[in-house]
Amino acid sequence: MKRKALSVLLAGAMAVSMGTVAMAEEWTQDYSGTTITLMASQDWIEDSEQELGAKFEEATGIHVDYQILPADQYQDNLLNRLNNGECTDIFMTQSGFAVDTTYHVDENAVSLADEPWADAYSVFSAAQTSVDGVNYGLTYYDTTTDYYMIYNKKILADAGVTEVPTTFEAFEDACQKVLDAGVTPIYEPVADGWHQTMLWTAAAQILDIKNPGTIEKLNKNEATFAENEDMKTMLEQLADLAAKGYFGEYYMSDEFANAETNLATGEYAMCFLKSGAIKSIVANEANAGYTEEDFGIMLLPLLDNQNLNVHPTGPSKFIYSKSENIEAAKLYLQYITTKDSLQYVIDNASDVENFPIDMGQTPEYSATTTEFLAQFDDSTSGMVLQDVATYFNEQWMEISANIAAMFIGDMTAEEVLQAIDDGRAQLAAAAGDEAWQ
Amino acid sequence: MNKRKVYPWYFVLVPLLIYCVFSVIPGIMGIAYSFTDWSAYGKELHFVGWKNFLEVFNGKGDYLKYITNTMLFTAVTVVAKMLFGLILAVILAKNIKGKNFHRAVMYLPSVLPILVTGLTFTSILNPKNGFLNEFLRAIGLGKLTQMWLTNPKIAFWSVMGVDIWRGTGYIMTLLIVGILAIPKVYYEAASIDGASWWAQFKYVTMPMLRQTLSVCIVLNVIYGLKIFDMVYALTNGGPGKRTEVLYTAVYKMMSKGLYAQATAISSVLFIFMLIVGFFMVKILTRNEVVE
Repeated sequence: MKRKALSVLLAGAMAVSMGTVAMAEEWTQDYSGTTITLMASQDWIEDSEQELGAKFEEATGIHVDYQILPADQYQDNLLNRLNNGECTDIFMTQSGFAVDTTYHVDENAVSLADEPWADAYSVFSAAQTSVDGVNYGLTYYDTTTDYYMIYNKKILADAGVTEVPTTFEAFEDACQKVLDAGVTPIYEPVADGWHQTMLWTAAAQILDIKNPGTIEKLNKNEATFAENEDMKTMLEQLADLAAKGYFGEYYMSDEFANAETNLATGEYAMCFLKSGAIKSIVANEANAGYTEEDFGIMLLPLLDNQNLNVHPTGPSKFIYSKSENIEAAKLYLQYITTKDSLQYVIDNASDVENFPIDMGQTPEYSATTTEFLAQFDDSTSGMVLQDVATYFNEQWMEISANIAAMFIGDMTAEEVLQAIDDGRAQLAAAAGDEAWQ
Repeated sequence: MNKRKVYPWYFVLVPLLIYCVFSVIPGIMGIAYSFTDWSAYGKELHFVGWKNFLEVFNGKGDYLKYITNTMLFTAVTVVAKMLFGLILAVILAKNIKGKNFHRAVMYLPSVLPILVTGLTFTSILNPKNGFLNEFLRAIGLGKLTQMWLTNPKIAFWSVMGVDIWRGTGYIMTLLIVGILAIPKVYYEAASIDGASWWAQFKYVTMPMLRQTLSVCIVLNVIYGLKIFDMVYALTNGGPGKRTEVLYTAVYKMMSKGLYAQATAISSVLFIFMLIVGFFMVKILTRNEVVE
């Protein structure tokens, strides 16, 4: 009887303690010898996340093998692995339409709806990693801000630009003044083959605001890019910036990696960057004496757009459904989403100001970012084109090559748009989309 | 007696099997896949007939431009490599001082991996701080500096230039071997008959080099038609699509997950290369004497 009572007592004590120490047990459970593989495109994994991976290994014994692939080979590689049934334990892809139509995460990934961080995960981000209301992913990227035009206030003021341009005409006028003052107005890294498209898509929310229903018609295949005069105008405006020399002489060979340095030296006045880049520009070794207060943020007013670009999609992590290490992979996601881990990345990654997961961490928005974002509300914000138009993001590199071709006069804006329509038709047909049948 | 020196025919079976498994069968499967809707977006294959070929060659895309670029690349690089290779071979086949050193220096670029060569030259040809432009500025020829890989008018010529630089040494080496194999008695006889250097080159060296030249041309034409890595490393088809060739386009199509269309282009190029190779061998060897 005594033994039975003792057993019940111990069982009761265990049950009570299980709930409270579950997390601690998970960290201390012996996973020694376990390796989880994580597949990502270049630039999707911050150095500080890899440092977290090392700490995670110390805490759990689970080694994280980061497999970083070149950007232009990533999609093909991922699709091949998923189709062959041999993917890594965690795979990454951009969130948005493609997680359903292309990557079929409802089959290829496990549900993360009940994970400890799920309630803290932004509903906007969750919507982009979910299929049929079930969340399968974790967007581990600063989607709380997007790319904006970072400009050097001093250079613009010295050139005689007294107000932040809000129309395309005023923007070109400002660029001309800067150019006349001997400074190249915009650092545009075309050589990397992806940046130039963003100049356009980050302003494209104006399309639906001007003509509601535009995007819906595109997605139902009831309208085309090529017949959209506003899109044509936006691309022509971009081509005009290049033709007038506002990107400088060497923009075709300029690389994104040098953007912050070129702004820090004062050789260029503006660049389209994440708002967090201001901190890195000031910290750059080549800084010619600028402080954070010397930089401002504005929208690139293509088509006179003054609506904030919102970009809730970003590189997201999914746990492969056929993985043999699902629990270990879930543990990794739990680890990197703790308050301390999130704070660690925010503090150590120069361009990460916050995450779409609120675990009580302190964001590092600069005063400039806060002031800039405060100008907009829901009525003056809109999602970027790649987040709302189907079969667009998959063509990103090709669209970028075509825009570069437009800059050098090999293609017209209309031909660039027509090529997008052709590409969408190809991708939709391959995906068996009924709207294109 | 002679029969005993010939290996039995079945010795060829194992290499033939390996060749079939790793080369012929995948090749045939590749052609077969080009008639399906094989893509990264679906797991099932369906027969679609000539659809992929029609999509690729219906004139809507830029494939005709890529074919033209590939042909231009092949023609220019083959002619230039053969010409420079022959000149170097004739010079370095002679008994000049330091010939082995010069041969080694000329041959060296050929042993470097193409991607390494390409990446090195992207640095050398950088318009802002690349070695070439810096050198031109340093010697007072700043006006000659160019955006070698990003100026649409000269980018493709720069790519071809780098490829010619890389490939000439290899051709030179093959031709030196060919020249050294020509019996000296022909030159002695020609010399006794009073033939000039040019006459000896024209009537002795060139005819005797015919076989080596044929091999070099065929190999280079096939290399040129298959060019990928040099273009990929230097320009990745840019600026815009100015330097895009067929295999960089195939690579990009594969990267988009449209495998069937990509194999359709590859299949067409494969058949084209077979035809070109067949006729070139026929033409280049038509006057050969079978001993």
